[in-house]
Amino acid sequence: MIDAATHTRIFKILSDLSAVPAEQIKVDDRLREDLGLDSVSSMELVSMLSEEFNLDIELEEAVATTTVSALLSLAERRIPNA
Amino acid sequence: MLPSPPLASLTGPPLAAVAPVTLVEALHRLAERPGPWLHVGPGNAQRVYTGAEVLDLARRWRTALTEAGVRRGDRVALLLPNDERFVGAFFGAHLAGAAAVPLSWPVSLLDAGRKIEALRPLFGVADVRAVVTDPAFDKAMLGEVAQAAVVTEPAGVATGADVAPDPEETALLQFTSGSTSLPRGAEITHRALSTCVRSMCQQNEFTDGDVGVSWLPLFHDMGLAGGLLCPVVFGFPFHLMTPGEFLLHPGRWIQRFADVRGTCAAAPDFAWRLAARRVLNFKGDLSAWRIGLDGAEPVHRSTMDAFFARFGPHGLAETVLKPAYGLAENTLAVAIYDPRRPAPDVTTSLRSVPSVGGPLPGVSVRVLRDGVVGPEGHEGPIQVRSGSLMRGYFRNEAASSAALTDGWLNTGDLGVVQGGQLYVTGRAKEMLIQNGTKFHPYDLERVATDSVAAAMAGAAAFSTPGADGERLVIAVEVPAAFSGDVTRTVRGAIMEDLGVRVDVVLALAPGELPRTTSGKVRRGDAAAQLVGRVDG
Repeated sequence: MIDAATHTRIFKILSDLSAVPAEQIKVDDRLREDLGLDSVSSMELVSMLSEEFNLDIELEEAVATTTVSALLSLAERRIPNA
Repeated sequence: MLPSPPLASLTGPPLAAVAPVTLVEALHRLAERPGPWLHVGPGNAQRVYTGAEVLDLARRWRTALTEAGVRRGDRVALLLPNDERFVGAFFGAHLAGAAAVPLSWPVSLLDAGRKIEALRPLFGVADVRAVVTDPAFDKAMLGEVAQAAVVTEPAGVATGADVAPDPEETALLQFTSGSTSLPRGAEITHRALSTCVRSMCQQNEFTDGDVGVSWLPLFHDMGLAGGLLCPVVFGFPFHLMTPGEFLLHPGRWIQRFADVRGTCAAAPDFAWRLAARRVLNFKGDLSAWRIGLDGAEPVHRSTMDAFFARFGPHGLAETVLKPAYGLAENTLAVAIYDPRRPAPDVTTSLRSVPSVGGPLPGVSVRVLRDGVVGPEGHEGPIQVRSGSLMRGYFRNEAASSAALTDGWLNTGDLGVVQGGQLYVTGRAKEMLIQNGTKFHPYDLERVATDSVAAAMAGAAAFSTPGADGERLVIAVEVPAAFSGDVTRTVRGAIMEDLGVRVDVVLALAPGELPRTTSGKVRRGDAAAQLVGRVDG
């Protein structure tokens, strides 16, 4: 499970990039269709996540991350003790 | 009586008459140079090719294309990512006597089927004999949509002979303007292509000691003529990265510069801004870097300042980042800022605009007023004349004659000539640009009105300068019966269909947009009226 602090930070990044208030972002939102992130900003999202949590995420993993829940499970898999 | 002001007309220095006349000749010369030339792939898994190996690769692609039925005078579409296959197949097409037709390669292959379908109108115009692509695309579907052979591998061994293209034969179709439903391909001859590349080389004073590092897509005019081809002519090493790698790890691009003592790159304004903002941990020396061209979208002074502030402490010279102006219809470059001739910004009603310098060698520019050359300082339509102009839009007589008048290209951009410098103050009147990609407002408007089920309603797409680059705005008339979240619906639909993010959605009442007497939305007037409602 992702801890509450990590969860909050991820939603903060999502909110900053999509300009959708964090409390309105739902776990099953799609990054493109629901949050309006284009390929550049989706990439930036994963990029910011990888930098903030010091992860080495590769391109294939980034392009496969198309929903908020996929992003959370990516974080869960990759962030130590998240 | 005051003297009349000088005319808004500039001519670049003469273009030095040096061989080669075609890029194919340049490739043959490149093959005689020893040492690594092309570097592909991430730093830890690099594939390196000498010029001779690239020529062999191009010949193997030429062989595969010939076996697929490609003949001299045909066209070959390239639907490929940034790697050696693009480089090989691009020259392979030329060696077969065919023109290359680069197509945009998506960052993600998740919706490859939709991508192919979206190319149907373009294939209808380009009439290609073959498509070179990655096996990830459905071969049967692509072949049906393109009405062409689909080639995914070069031949194992090159056979047959190279064609030496005539300079007046078509080298390239650049499909970067027009809507997705009515695509237009700028037809570039071998002479025009090499003229453009030589002009940039002369302006940038390239030598064989330079080192190029580019992640720009090769299907884009700036990535092709501005990234790949100057290194071909001068034989200097070229490090090819991918847009995905840059977007995910902007620091790797800058790091590569430090690692290989890179000297030159071109990128859209957003990319320099992204690198300045997103590269947090960087160690390395950037003092070898000479040239960073900032173009393909409006250039912001704040971007240049931020990039220098971020990397100046690592040895980056303040003169590296140079505003540039170019367009696919001129193959690419028209003007590049020269720091040896400094010029102040000009201020328009919307923002402060940096100079893009004077015209390149062999290029002339002028700014019109009422259809004739206007005075300096007047803002008007920019025209360009050069040896690298397109022949016209491929098989589109009407669009070609509208674009070319008496040997001058009507760029559709607005500008000012002042003190020997060109300032580009307004974008191509019809096109919107976001993150370096051009869009036709009509496409956005169509999807927006469809998404709120407003068949009779109107929409207007435009962009305005914001604090952090350009903001893309769509104003759409929403019928009273529509009950959903307008911003989410419109933004989501445009994203899904066109892959572009709209920054601001303005919901209007039906009939609120200004219209002509025939009922067409007056896009320019709408933008002027609504710009005050786009806050933040």
